[in-house]
Amino acid sequence: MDFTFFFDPPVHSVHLTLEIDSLSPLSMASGQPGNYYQSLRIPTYHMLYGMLENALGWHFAEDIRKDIFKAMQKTAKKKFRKDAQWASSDWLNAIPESSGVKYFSFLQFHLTFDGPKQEPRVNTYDDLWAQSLRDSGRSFFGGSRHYDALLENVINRVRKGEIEFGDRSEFKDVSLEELDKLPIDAKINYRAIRSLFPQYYTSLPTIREYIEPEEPYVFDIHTTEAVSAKIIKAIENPEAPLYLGANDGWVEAKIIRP
Amino acid sequence: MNIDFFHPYPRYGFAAALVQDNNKQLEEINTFQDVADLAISAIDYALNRFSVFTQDDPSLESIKSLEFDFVSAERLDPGKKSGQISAKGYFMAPYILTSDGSAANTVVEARNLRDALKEVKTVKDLYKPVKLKRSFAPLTAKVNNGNKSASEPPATLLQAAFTCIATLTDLKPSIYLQYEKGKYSNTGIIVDLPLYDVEGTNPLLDFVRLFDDMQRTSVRTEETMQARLDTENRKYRRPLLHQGNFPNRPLDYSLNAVSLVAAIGEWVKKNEDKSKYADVDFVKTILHHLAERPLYIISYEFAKQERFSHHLVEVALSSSIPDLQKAFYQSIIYGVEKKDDPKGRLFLRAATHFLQFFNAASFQNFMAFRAEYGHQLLSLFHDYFNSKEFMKDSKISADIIKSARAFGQSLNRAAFVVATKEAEEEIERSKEYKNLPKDNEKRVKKKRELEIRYKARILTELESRIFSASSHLQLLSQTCVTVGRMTGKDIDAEADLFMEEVAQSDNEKVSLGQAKNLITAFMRLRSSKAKELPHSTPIEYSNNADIEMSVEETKEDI
Repeated sequence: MDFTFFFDPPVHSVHLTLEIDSLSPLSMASGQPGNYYQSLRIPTYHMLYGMLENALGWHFAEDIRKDIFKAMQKTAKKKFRKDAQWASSDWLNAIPESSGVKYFSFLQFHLTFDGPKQEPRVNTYDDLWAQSLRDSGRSFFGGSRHYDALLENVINRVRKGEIEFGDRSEFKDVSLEELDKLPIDAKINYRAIRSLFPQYYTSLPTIREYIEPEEPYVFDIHTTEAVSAKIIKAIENPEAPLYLGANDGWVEAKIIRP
Repeated sequence: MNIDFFHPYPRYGFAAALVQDNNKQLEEINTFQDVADLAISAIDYALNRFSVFTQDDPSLESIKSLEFDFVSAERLDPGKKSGQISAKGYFMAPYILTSDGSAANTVVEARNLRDALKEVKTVKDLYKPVKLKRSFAPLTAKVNNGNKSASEPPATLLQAAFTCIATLTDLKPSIYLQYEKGKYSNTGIIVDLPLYDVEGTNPLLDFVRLFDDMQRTSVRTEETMQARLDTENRKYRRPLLHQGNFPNRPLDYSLNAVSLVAAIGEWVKKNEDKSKYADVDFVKTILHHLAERPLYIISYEFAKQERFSHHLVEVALSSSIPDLQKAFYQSIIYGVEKKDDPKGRLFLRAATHFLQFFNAASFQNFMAFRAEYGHQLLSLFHDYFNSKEFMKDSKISADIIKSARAFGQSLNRAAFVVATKEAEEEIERSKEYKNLPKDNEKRVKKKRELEIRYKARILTELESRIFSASSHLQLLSQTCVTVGRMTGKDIDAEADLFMEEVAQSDNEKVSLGQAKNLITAFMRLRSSKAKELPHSTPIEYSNNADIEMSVEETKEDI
């Protein structure tokens, strides 16, 4: 991964066209989530940044992303501190703009979007959607049937009332080897068996609006030389599948140099 | 300030606030203070129209109906503590999209938002973060957005305020709806129209203005705030308002795309030139704008979308949707005897979808129920068979369709002749009826019952033959021979054109599928000369959208 683009001044000398065609129905959250997810008709610029970073393979946890950004901005600031044109710019000083889910893009100073020129006609309909959720173990135990066969005896004992699982302080951690040798009335923490359950469980299905755009989205991109080279290469051969909104909303993207 | 919202819900709240405030124009909203004041006034207005209650005592003999009035904002305090609950005759107005259990929270949140708006001193204050709560934002719930536990979704004060206004405003079509057996909820329709259009118009504002005008002429009346009292057991229901806060309330107590378009269509026709927005061209523009866009049917318990096709606009304005719906209700479905038969309800749903979409799929679903329809559906079938959706690439002229109708009606008449004969024979054979005079009420009723049953059976047999025909010629010969055998006569001469077209199967003017649909549809229409249907028709409007509460009951809602 090469972030040296960030140390170039954000001169948007290159102008490109981004064309996005949906391969499956899209559902882009419009701000009132929970009971019924209505969809935006056009992706937000944050979603477009996310799509580009997906192609680049820049997938980081929130805290790591913050650390990387801080380091980059600090380095860039050192370099251009004395340059009157850039010294007080957002690029070197501002907190990056983030979306509703606290995502912010590294590209946001060096690449801007315009458009779309036209809002495409869309067909809309409702469908069911479920979230994959993680948990420390409480929701899985007693709720999920997908567990390792090693747990069979343990669960039988719980049903018989011989041992108990919980998450308060009196419930202890044990190693996997000790699981079969637990004394009667043992109290064990869910954490101990978390690894024997799947990574995610599926939430209750919720009704969600999906859209099918009848034409592709067309956006303008203004960016630096370095970034344009990067994204053209990445879009041609993305590191991860491209999507907009819910991650089953697969899209195909094209960058054209007009 | 150019205020707009991505989400249709707060967008509607904003439009409603403008129209309610003496039809404010968008140009009058220039500063953040204008926006805040608009929202404050809208919330205050809505809190004065949140709940209705009656001061009449249903136990008094002199009272024949109950008068309801709005609870004032100062007194408003839904919940057990204050006694403002259903059991004591306090009902939330049907356009308040919350639940009985959540109503108290809704009021608290509305007041909080209004107070926060009063504190706004800069533009930035309008965009300060506020959490969306289900009590005033029914589309939301606590969500897991990458955090360990679920939390309320965030929004700005601006979005939250107008979301709350959308939840409270009376300027949206609403009903106290039975959405499942025995379950009721305040339900409203939020339309997804833009505030600003490329042509410089404001479609969403136009819709709300239209709705406001509809209410002015027909809803803001005394009758709407009255509830009938059952003089015997002193039970009463919610006032008429709860059956719909718009004119031409749907007779089937449902809130969907068809009932909305029907209500608007009927109002325009009855009020043309009598009211500002009762202009056919104006309404046509709005309705065509709405066609193919989602209508969100929203309540605290559920949310979903519906849509209708452009043709429904013409039906609403040039003919009458309520008349068509009545024809559906008066249909006799093969195998449905009891009023609450779920198959009957399913048929009505298929009929509603056919009106909504008017396409091949909805037509097939509708035709899947073997039934005999009221004659009023003739124009609907004519429209459908003459439409592009049915025609596709073939060229079936209007004359052929007319001729197909004659063919179908011949079959219907033949079935009638045979059924009548068989019914008479059955009566003559039965010991109970044969000695009664021909005009005896009991005998007439029994004969009618048998006629209906036999005719349905014969039509079903005919349909089976039609659908099992595997070629054009087989289709014609099966039906003609059967009719000849039943009546001893030929098919009506007016049907000749159609039969010739079908017989020329090599030029494929009329495909086999199209021919079958044409024959079956027209065959199921009762002829215009058919006798009046008896009173007990299999599907009836059932007034089950009532909650009957006796004044003695102290059972309280949760």
